[in-house]
Amino acid sequence: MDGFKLTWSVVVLVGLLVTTVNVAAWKKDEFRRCDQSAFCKDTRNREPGSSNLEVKDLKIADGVLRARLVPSDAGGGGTTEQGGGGGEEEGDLVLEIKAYKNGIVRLKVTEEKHPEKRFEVPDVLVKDLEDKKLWLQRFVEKDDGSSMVHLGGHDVILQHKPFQVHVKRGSDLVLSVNSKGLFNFEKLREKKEGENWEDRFRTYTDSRPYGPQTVSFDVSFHGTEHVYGIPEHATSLALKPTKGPNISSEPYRLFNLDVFEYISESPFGLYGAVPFMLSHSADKSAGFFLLNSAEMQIDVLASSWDTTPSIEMEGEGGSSKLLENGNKEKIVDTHWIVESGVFDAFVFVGPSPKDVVTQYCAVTGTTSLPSLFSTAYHQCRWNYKDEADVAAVDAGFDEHDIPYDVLWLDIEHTDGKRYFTWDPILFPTPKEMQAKLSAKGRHMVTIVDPHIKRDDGFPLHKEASSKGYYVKDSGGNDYDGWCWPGSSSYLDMLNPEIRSWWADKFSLSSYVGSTPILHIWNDMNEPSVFNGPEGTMPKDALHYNGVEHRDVHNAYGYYFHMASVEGLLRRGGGNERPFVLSRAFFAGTQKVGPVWTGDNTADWTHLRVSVPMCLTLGLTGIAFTGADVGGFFGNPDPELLTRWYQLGAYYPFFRGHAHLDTKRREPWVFGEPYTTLMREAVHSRYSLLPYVYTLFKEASVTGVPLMRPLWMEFPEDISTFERDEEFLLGPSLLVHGVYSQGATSETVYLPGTQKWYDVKTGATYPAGQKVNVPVTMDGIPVFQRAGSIIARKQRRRRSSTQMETDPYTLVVALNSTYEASGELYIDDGKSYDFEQGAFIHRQFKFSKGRLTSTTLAPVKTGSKVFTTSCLVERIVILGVRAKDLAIGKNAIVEHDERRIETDIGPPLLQRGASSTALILRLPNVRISDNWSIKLV
Amino acid sequence: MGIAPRELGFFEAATAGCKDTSQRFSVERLNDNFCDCLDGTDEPGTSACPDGKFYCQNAGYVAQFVFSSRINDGICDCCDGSDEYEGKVKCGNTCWEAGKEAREKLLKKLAVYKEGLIIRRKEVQNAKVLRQQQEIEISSLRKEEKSLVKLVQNLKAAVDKVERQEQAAKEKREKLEADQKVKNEKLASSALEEGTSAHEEKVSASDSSLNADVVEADTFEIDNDHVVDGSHYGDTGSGDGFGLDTSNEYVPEEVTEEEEPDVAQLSKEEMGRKVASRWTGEDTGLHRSEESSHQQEEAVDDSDQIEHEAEHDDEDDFDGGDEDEDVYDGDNYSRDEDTIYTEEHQPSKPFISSKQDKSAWWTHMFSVPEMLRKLFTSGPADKSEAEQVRKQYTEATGKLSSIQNRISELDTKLKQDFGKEGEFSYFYEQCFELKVKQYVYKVCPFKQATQLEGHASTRLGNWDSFQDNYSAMMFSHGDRCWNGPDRSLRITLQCGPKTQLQNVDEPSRCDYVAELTTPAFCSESRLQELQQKLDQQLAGVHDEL
Repeated sequence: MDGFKLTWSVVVLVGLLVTTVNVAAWKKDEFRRCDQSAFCKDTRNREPGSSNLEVKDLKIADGVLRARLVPSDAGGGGTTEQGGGGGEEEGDLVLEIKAYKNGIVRLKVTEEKHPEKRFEVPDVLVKDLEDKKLWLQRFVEKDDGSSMVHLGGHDVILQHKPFQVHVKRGSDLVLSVNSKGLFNFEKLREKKEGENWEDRFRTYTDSRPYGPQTVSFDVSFHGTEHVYGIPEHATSLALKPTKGPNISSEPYRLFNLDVFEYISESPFGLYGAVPFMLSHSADKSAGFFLLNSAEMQIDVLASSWDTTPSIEMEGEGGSSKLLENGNKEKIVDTHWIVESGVFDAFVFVGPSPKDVVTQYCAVTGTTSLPSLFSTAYHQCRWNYKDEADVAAVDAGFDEHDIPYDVLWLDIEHTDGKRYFTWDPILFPTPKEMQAKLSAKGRHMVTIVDPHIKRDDGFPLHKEASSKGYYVKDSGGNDYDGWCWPGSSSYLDMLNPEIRSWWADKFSLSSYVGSTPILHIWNDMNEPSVFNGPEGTMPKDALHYNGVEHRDVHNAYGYYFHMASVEGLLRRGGGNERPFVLSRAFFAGTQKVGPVWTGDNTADWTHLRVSVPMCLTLGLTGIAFTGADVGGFFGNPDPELLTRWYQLGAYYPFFRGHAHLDTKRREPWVFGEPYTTLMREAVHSRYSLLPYVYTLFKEASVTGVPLMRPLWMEFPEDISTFERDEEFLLGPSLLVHGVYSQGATSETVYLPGTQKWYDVKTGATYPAGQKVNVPVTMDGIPVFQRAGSIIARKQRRRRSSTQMETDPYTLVVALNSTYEASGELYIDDGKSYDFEQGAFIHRQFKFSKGRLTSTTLAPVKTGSKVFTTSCLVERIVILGVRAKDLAIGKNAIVEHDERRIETDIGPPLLQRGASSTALILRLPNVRISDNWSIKLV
Repeated sequence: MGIAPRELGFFEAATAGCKDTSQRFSVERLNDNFCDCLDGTDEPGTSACPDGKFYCQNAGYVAQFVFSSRINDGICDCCDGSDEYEGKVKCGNTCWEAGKEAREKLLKKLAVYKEGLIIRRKEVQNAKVLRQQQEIEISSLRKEEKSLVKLVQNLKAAVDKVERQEQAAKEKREKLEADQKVKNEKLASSALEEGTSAHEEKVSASDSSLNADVVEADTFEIDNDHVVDGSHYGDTGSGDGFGLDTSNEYVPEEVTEEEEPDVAQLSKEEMGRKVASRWTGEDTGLHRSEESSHQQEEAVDDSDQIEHEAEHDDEDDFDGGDEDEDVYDGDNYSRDEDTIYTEEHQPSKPFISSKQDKSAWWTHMFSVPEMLRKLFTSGPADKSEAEQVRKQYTEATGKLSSIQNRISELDTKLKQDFGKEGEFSYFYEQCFELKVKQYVYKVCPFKQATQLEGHASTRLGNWDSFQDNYSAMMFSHGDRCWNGPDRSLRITLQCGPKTQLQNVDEPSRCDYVAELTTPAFCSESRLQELQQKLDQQLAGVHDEL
């Protein structure tokens, strides 16, 4: 891990110097460091081995393994861990171990005495999770003082004294909890005489009425050197160590915050939090998820952070062997420090990276299948000023023949930042405005934030306050914070009743001026409170059932997002897919909608960091993501903007956005050659929509993201583990951004053993090595993997809506055995009829000179059918034998003996493409049919 | 299908080449709904090639090319409906109505052009005459300047001589005094102490009165000559060393006050506003931008507000005076650049910026008190002669300076770009205003453009140049925006019978655009183009009929 030697402090400083383009940049002082938080300060420095719990009363009931964790009298620490004082009055800790199908183990520790006061996060786990529960029958008690549960393929080993949990796959140790002895669960207790629980930061005082309740522990990932995940941080994909010899950085912080002008390369928390970490090595992957929405700080510990021997496990063969190997065991230790709540953890045993993500998504849900239009290009700006501006921007796209699907309105469209209203002067006829967009098959998005203007003339506020729907301050009054509208209150979205009430506000009758093509954007839902501590709500604010904001903070934005999505679902009678973009997120957000990486900046470092940020989100289940193309703050020069469009075309969520103070930057503003370049970039996304949509389908079923680290497809290739300047879009496309001014070539690493085809020129590059690829302003390096087939629609249209009946192109990239395969999923792109079988799922295979199309859809799964008359107009075959690449070759559609012409042509209909591929002209077979075409 | 008539021949041979010469294709492949040429040559009538163009004849109106992306996409684009031949949508033929409307518009426009052109011709003629007059004036002024320079030199020599004499006399007197003093001291060694102290008191009293006079003179000069800078804009001037602390009600520390006040001092609401302002750049009144004094003027601080209002009242009076161009002509410093606007918004610069100003300024600052001092210290004997010479010298330099100012003024004007025919000459020293909501936009070509809101004024830009073949005027480097660029204003010109500012807009924050209709833009050649366009359309209609 040589590359990780830079300490955070240095990196942060350099980052600041580089990115300080504006007078006011990221204000570090306004955010707490670990040592400025009561719960984190001392916990972070706990000594390994200080945990002194032991397992008692182990038993199985209802298919669940249960035990008590009690302080060990002979514990190494000597003193009792939890607060001394009324120790004997406190109840014990209770441990539960559950298992679910397909390699998922759940470990839960909570208080026996105060379970109701320890918050457990609702509505994150999938509803049918308990259906997948494995009924534990028995455990094996070993002589060495441990117990083991066999789960078929993997085992859980519970060491009794001291309490440790180890998860093995076969004989291979995968993950351990508390093997470093850092587990500590501060039980709730009475305040001692003269004790002060208040926590002060700057001018704010957190009353902490329940006192210390920290949950902290260590998790070790065995046999690996790399861990990933725990968004959201603007940093590298592979998580750099934060603590250890010669490394002193802040821990990775998970605390949803609206950070003004965030910088790249920092462990400080941003808008969202997913407490899910993955490890990967050449032979295995594993995952650990903590279901807890309180603030947490996570240290990734550098090797030899702890000079004591790494593991003290008795018995169990596998681990003993590891011990014999001495210090050679590769391991990543992590230390998790959580302010409150319970220890409710899920362990995913893999073995492959895709397995881990799928296991995680089996628990928290998969990305909901988006509407087709929302996978196309979005045009946003703070703000399109008025209806004339909207019309002009819409016309600008048509005039320059640049496709787009969605036009967005930021906060200025409202009447004084009262959401669900329109500025009567600037937007007097919102329905007509939407009708004009709709006539071109386009959609609109308006912003709806969670802060409600405290204005008695605003019915929404009146209703919410009279119903008591706002979050309360620690004194029990409606919490009054400051946001865009000025004095504002915040709806208590933890309460399902309030979420339901909120959902009804999106009905066409309630949201005056809305039409069915109007979708929603939830911003500021961390929640952002301009005059609150660290720009958010005080932790002692009170929610539904007296839950402190401290407990629910990281999930607040998720509940708000969920309620808005429910609103659009109801509006569409349950059969229209909603689109709601959110800035804040939590584990499970993928079930409701997309997120973006927040307020980035128009500079090259932010372009660069957008890739690891989106990759990390994808790994943690949130597949529908993207960064603001162009950078939100600041003015990109045309080269940077062009590069951003070229990369953004491969983000799952593709939206151009800009700050109020920036210059206009719609893709034609800079004139030629940039208009053409950006048109081509946007069109390249449209041309790939059939492929992208198929990937979304895959994500919605398996959880496997669209944007994948190279090692997700090539798990054994160790040189990919720290690579995050390039990524795979699905299994078949490799994308490498251009992140510097004036670049003329890029070094691209091509994984695997099969060659890669430049998508535009068809030029081939060898795999398993770095290659030097020349670049011009015409595009960034993009390659198709040999052995894959990608479906495209190459005709340019105004929006995805007009592409519906357009014919397909199949790009067949042959591997070394002249074979290839690929998939295509099609449905109506907007309803849930696919759940009743209304979809087409095709498999294409090329082998022995024959391309065949067969169905992958199960035989009749529901009552509904989807049909399409779309044809295949073009088949492009890359990498045919030299003798086959000749004019005059023929191909035959086998079922009707129809002869089709061939030609030599470009792989793509794009300026600058070269004629390197065998082209089958106008096969005109239906995309939905079974057919085969043979080269003769 | 989709081919322009003039290109039909191109496709008549058995094979044709893609226009980008990348390929050749046989006639069967023309419009076969398969793209062979990347540039779309072979598919003018289908949507197969992304970069293709479709020709709609649009009989009754104007023929048109539409993007291939529009063909059979279910949206009517050509007024004859020919782009939707697959029938996904039924498109009526609206060319006749569209043509009629377009022709009516053209006719109206033509009428405007004709009217404007008459005015324009007149203005061009006026400009020519004016220019000749000014050229004559400047050459005669240059002659006068030459002789004056000589006179000033001579007078300077005379003044120097007088001053040398005075100096000699002074030295002599001082020597006498010194001798006297030595004598006195000898006497004083036996004298009473009271006597000595009385003498010293007397000396120091005369010293202080001398100092007081000098200061008074200084103050007087500054107040008169720099009423704008020194007193009305004392806040901005005080930081640069020339300010007059006594007459300045602004405490300098306020200006240099720490940018971000300690958050600990802020109320919750102030805190909210302050953080919000990071995104919006709106002034919260809680921090002062070092960039612009103007923002400070908007500060919410109550006491400040009142003081500013008072200042603005004065400023208004001054503005009134400024309308009269001649009021300050007699002054020794040029006013060609340093108008009140630039002064007001460039507090960071010394408030004297042109070289001429500087020399004039320094002359006044130091030469006058210097003379006074001399008069006090030199003997009264040759006072009247010396005064005479000095007076003549002062008068001559004054005259020279005012001639030089006029020359430079004329020079600046003659060098100004007034368009190909001088058609924009009459914009010189004119301003055009437009009121939009609470704002008044004031555009003064060749000077600057400002946005006025009540008493506050924001500079949108200094004159930059004409652009795009005299079809636009650019004002750049206006007041800096928070977190953003300098403000700028781009005015596109349109032909109209009167010069009128209209449609001011701010498409991106601080990036202003506007239109100016003016006869100056009603050119002969554009008129002819319009006429041709109309003729073509009419011919088209005629063919149809």
